[in-house]
Amino acid sequence: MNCLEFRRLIDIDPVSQDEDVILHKAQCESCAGFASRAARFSTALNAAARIKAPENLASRVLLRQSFLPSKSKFSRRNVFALAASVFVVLSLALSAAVVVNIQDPLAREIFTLVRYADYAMEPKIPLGEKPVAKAIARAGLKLEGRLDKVTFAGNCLLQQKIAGHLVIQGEKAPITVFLTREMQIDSKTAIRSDNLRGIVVPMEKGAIIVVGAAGESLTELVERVAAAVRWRHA
Amino acid sequence: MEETRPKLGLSTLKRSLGRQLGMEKPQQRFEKLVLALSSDIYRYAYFLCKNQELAEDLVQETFVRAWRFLGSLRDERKAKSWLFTTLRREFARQFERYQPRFDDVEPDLLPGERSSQWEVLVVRRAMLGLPLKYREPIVLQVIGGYSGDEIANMLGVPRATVNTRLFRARQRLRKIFEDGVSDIDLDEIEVSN
Ligand SMILES: [Zn+2]
Repeated sequence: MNCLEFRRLIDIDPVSQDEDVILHKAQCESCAGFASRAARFSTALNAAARIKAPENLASRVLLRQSFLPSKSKFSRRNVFALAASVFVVLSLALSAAVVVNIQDPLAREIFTLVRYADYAMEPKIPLGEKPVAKAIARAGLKLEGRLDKVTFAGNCLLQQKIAGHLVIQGEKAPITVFLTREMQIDSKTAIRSDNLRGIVVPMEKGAIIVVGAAGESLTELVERVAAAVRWRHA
Repeated sequence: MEETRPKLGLSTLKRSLGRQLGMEKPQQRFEKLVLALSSDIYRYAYFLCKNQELAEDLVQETFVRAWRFLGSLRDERKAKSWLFTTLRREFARQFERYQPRFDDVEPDLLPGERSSQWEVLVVRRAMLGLPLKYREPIVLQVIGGYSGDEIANMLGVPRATVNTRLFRARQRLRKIFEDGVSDIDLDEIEVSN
């Protein structure tokens, strides 16, 4: 191996363990100097590439995955395992939500849930009554009337408690509805982020939360949901 | 009576092998992948798209796909290149739709690096300034720890092409590192074969 070949190899792979490379370095002072400069550069290059990943990135990835359908269904055990771990994760992930006029942690949690649950927005075909009733029952409530245009029905964790999570097609865009009987709210509250509007409406026990694009008639939807759901143990 | 006798047979062996081969429940497998690899996946994403927000979106999409197709990953040792390749495809897909914006805020360095912070920042800027075809192989080499053959495989280009690109990229970055400037035209650097 000559000096040119050596230098070219070092430039392609500075940590080459090639026997000829090691041998040449031991024999050629000038190339050994070249190799040590290259090593110093490599250290800087490695450091330059090792940018710091965002805080809680892994938590946010796991949070998102916890909302994805799994082959082995969302079993009750999973839900409770999640209750223990995911809420911690959730509260950490909240910093990513954009909240314009409200510093309330609940509002931030709601917008984060909506933002991360984009998969729930995709279906456009209305569901039958069964999956909707099931999702609502899981939240300790009972579907007693009709709810039209529900395109997603599932559950999520809101303030560490299992809530019903529905998506109902609105005038312009899908509207997300959370139903919970585990929340203490004093009065009806409007919440907003940069592109979403929501209302949190207290029920006799718990709340209905509706989030959609500006211009949707959210109050009307709350009334529809309130009329269809009975606020007691299923 | 025969059935109740404890056996050290095939099933015991299979169970212990299963454990050794990492045949865990999907959830556990997935969590391990995320914890072990999300930072490197993020770094790769960042150097592809040069935007922190977009990089995180790419990471999220990559892991959504990984979760969906976890069953097709048989060998945990291949997980990293599997994720890198998935992210690369996702980037290509999104790149067609969006024009990535440039980041104004530079991501933080990890503490305790041996090079001076300034040198590191200079090199990083220089890396981000490389055209994608030069940037990607060097990022795969440095972040992914891949060999020239592996990079050639992932990028679907001949090994010689990878070598040329690595050589030119390193030349340019080293010149910037050592002299603080570079007037090198990458495509003009002679590569003697
Ligand atoms: Zn020499």
